[in-house]
Amino acid sequence: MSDFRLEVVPASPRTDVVRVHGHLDARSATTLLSQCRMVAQEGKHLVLNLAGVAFISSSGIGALLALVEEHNQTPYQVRLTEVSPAADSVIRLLNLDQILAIDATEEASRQAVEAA
Amino acid sequence: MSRDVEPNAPAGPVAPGDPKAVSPTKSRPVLSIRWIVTAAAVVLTAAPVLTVGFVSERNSRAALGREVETRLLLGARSLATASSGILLGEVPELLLHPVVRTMQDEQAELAFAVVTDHAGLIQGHADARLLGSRFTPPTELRPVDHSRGLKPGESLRSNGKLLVAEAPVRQADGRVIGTALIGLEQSYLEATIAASRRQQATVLAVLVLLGVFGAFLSMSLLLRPVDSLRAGLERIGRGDLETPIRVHDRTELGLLADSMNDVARRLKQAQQEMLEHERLAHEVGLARQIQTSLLPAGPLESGSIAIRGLQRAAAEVGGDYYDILPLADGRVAITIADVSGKGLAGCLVMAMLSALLRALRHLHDSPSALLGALDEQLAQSLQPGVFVTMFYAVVDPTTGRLTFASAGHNPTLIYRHAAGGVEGCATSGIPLGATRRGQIRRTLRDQTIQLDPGDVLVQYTDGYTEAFGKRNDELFGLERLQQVVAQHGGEGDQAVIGALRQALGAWTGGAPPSDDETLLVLSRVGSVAADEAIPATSKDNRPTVDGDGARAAMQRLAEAERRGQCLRLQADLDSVTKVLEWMKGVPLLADLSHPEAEQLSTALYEVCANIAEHGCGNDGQRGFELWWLPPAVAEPTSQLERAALVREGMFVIRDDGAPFRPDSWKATDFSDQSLWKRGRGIGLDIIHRAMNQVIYQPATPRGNITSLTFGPRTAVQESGAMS
Repeated sequence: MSDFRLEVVPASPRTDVVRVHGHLDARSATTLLSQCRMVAQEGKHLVLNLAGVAFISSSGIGALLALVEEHNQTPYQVRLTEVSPAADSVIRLLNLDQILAIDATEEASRQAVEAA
Repeated sequence: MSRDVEPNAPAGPVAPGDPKAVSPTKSRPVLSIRWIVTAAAVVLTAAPVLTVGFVSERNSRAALGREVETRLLLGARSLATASSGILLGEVPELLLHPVVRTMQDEQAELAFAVVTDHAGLIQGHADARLLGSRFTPPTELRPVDHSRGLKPGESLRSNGKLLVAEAPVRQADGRVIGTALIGLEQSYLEATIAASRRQQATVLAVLVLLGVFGAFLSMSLLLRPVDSLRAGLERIGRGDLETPIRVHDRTELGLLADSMNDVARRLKQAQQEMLEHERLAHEVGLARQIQTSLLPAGPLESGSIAIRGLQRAAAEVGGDYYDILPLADGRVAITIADVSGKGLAGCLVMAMLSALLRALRHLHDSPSALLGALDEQLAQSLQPGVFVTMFYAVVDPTTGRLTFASAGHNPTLIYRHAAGGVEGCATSGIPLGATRRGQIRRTLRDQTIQLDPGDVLVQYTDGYTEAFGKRNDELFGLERLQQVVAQHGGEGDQAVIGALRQALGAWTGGAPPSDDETLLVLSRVGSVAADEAIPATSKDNRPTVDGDGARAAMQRLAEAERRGQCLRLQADLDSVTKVLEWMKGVPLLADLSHPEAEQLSTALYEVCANIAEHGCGNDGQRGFELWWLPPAVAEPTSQLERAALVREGMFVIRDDGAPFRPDSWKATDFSDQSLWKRGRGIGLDIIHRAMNQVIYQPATPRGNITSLTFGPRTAVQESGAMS
């Protein structure tokens, strides 16, 4: 069982970065959704840092898609950043890299969500 | 600044009696009260004595001076009177000499005594050799203020060293015929005063010694309880709150000891209350763990249905319960219940209910019969006044046919996709344990409904309907619940759950729940066309066996068992993650490049997770096997060759779970964002995009056999056709 952990870092007054560590699977996806919904409820943009993701399952991908879709219903943006090789291979397998907003650095994501 | 979502171990409070709680005592110089009071007593004793002595000395000196002057003057007068008759005689010097000598002998303090005649010649003196000579009085004599007692012709004079009294010697007619003079050494006066001072000093010393001794003795007696108080405080500091401070004293120190004993008693009481509180908190935590462990680990997707539950626990342990239970015939049972009352008792009833349900579910096909049996068993254990409302349903994942019964639980809400509205299904059953003589059976009845694709069934506990509003005491209520389900039912089960959570959070203002908030949502997914695409099934709803396919699958399994490598897994998600590590130790698989290895391991994980979840209901007691069957070729020489050979090998999975269709896949169009919220089917996308062949053969004599080969799919295959 992986040590799943979330780290919430306020990047600016308008944006929170959620850093994901460990396995993003069916169990941890629920925690991720809850935490990220709290960010949206606080009225902030969300940057998801996936650098620490050692494994991502379909539930994890589903959680990412659900988050993006939920944020699309709000004035707040969500972007992915620093996607780990493990997560990147699955995202590319599903061709989601053409759909999801992915940046190389947290700062680039922050600027993008705040400029939108 | 960042905050970690994972709970950190709280820093525990220092327990009473813990040595860490006692701050180290620093040694520092101590001023003894005994010595302070004794020194004060000395000062207070000596000061008045010295003051009195000083004043007394002044007065004594004045009085003594006057007395000496008077005595000297009287002596001079007396000598003059005695000399009056003698001085007129023939040889006055012969008579006066013994008189003066006797006077000086008797009064040793006299410096001299002399009688002179009218011519100033000495007629009386203790030294006979001076008789007849002229008397020379001491020089620099000045009158002394003694005027009140002087008679005419008398004088009293002093030069600082001598005090001289002079009295005239008169005849009877008053004529002066000589003078009597007496001198006294001033040192006599000083010696007399010094003697008096010595006496005073002796008295003072005695008084001071007595004061010191008395003060020390009395302070020792008075302060004796201080030692007991200090020892008692040190005991309390070490955590000993049992031994009282014994001070039998009627002074304020006795009252202080009583107060300290009272403080120790209150501390002990508070300590016991804190320990009791910690024990209760620990027990509540355990109860919460038990409660959580009884809930399903995650959602269940089986056939055309998806079932999700969600519970947001109140601070106090509540009695809400829900469960998702696969049945042996492939159907799935769902239940939700609410035990009246909270706390440990409610948690225990919930645990009992869960155990009974798991034991009885296979014995009763009818939900109402099962609820009746649960009532019968629970009624023996429930305290009067404790009851359980419960909804229980059995759903066929293939057909969407659902039969349910409710024992006094909240009405079931069903979102009908075709009509775009919500139906409420209420039943007349009374709660479990509400009566004791099996009367419940007459009130329970089964109801059967058909869930069509897109329909969503919602069940809940009163934590939702009875949540108080933030701004008023109004309840959230069934009507609002229905509205939310009606608005979001068309977006799928996850959307309904999310919307209900959001609506309730907005209603309560994000306040912590006062009661458990539990949701159970069942949705039928897919389209009518997809339903029709499901292969024909046998009578017991299991897919029919394709004879050639089964034989081929069993041959592959036998080959894998002969020369392959096996990973045995339990049907739970924790065990399934072993696939990721296993691959790193298998020859050929370990040689794959990074993206390929990640995609293959994720795809295998998804297949195994689907078998564990949908085939075996996440029942960790059940297991299945994953085999790697490498190609039968000569030993490869390079890493490239080894990686290429992975595509020629095969993965074979054998399980005994309920059949499901990992091979029935239609590529998800991710550009349609309306599908994103549903989050379903992505596992099959991963499997089929990473594997170029997926062959599923259910219900062979060896169980269900899934065969997969790794590699990119062709364009034709990606369009949805099965290999």
